Amino acid sequence: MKHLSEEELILKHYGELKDEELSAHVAGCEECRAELMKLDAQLKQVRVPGVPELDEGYETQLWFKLRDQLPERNVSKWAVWGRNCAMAAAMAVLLVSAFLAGRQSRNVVNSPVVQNNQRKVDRLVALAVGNHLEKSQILLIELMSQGDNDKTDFSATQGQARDLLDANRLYRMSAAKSSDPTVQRTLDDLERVLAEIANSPSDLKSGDVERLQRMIEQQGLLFKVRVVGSRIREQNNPVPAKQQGTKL
Amino acid sequence: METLEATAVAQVLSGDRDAFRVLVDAHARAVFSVAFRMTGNKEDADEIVQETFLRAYKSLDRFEARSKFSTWIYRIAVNRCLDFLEKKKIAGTYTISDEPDPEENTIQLPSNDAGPDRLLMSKEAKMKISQAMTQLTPTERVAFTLRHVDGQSIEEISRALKIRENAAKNTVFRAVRKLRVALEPMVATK
Ligand SMILES: [Zn+2]
Repeated sequence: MKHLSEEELILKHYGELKDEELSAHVAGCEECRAELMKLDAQLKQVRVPGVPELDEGYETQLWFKLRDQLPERNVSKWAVWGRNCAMAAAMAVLLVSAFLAGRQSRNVVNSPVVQNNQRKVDRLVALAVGNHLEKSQILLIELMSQGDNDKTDFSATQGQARDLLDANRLYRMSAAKSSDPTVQRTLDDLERVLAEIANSPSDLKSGDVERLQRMIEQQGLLFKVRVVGSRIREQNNPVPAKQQGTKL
Repeated sequence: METLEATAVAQVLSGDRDAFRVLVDAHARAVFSVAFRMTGNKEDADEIVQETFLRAYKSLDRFEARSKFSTWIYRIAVNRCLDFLEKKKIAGTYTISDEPDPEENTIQLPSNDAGPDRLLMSKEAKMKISQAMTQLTPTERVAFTLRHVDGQSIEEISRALKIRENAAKNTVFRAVRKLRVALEPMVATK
């Protein structure tokens, strides 16, 4: 019978020999098995150096190097429309996974891998929430500084509030899985106000702005958003080693 | 995690630059690993990591929400590596990994490999391999690393490098053959 070619042996070595007849041949043919073992031994010697350990703050350092290089995007209407669709899809996925997680939570295994993944997810949630709170803060400040008689167009603000509201729902549910109740409460409060802004009539009557402002004020919302936002930012941008007690 | 990423993609596309950080954070280490495995050099890998994320940011509107972001960015990284190696080759500085890792002068073999083969695991063998690696073209090097180190299938390699499957297969074959030629005398003289 015909022995395997070098190419077939290479495929076999990498587990990509699809021809079952050939695989069966190797199993029964001493000559081919010897050839394969020789190839295995040779290829085993070919190693690349191990990837060096990276600093804990690697991601943060990289981000600060990258950020200023990122050009502003020209945003088209289509992009915004697509974004809303993506957000809706993301919400749907989240709801389903929250449902499944709820059903499976009794069997959750606390393996290191699961814990590690959870840490990573927590960090990503924190990054996203930090960014979200920053944007919400800008919106709240704008609203608070609006005079009752300002004839500014409210529809743009409402559009922003609607986007933020969608994102807020998503992050609130993601944060619900993390252990920080302050973040959770802040997002709760923020969501009520965002919903109020989003659902107000776009031709705001005198008194409407004041009502929204009072609502924000009574909850101390701006303060909470600022405090929680900056705390998350500090956690995400750890100060380099010198402040952590490492010698310079 | 994928939900967060999908949201971040959507936000970046709507003009929120800072949302890109979520994606950088989630994938920075994986991209660095690919780049390091291909170049064997930390500075080069760092450069490729930045280029990869810049490219991803600029072409984010071409990312299809159905696919995984990790796969998408991996492919971008692989192509950045390839470009990088090509540039180095043209500049005449294509000497990647021709110096063995100083901390690993002998290659460790798993214990069940004890026996005459162990003698091959010398500094000399490592030098030969390193030299053989520099004989590979950038495409051969990348395709081989994808197959041999990253465990990517021929099919995935062909997709990542945007070449036909047969071409990917032949590229891997060529690389293996060149490496074997370098190792052959050692096997013969054992
Ligand atoms: Zn045979």
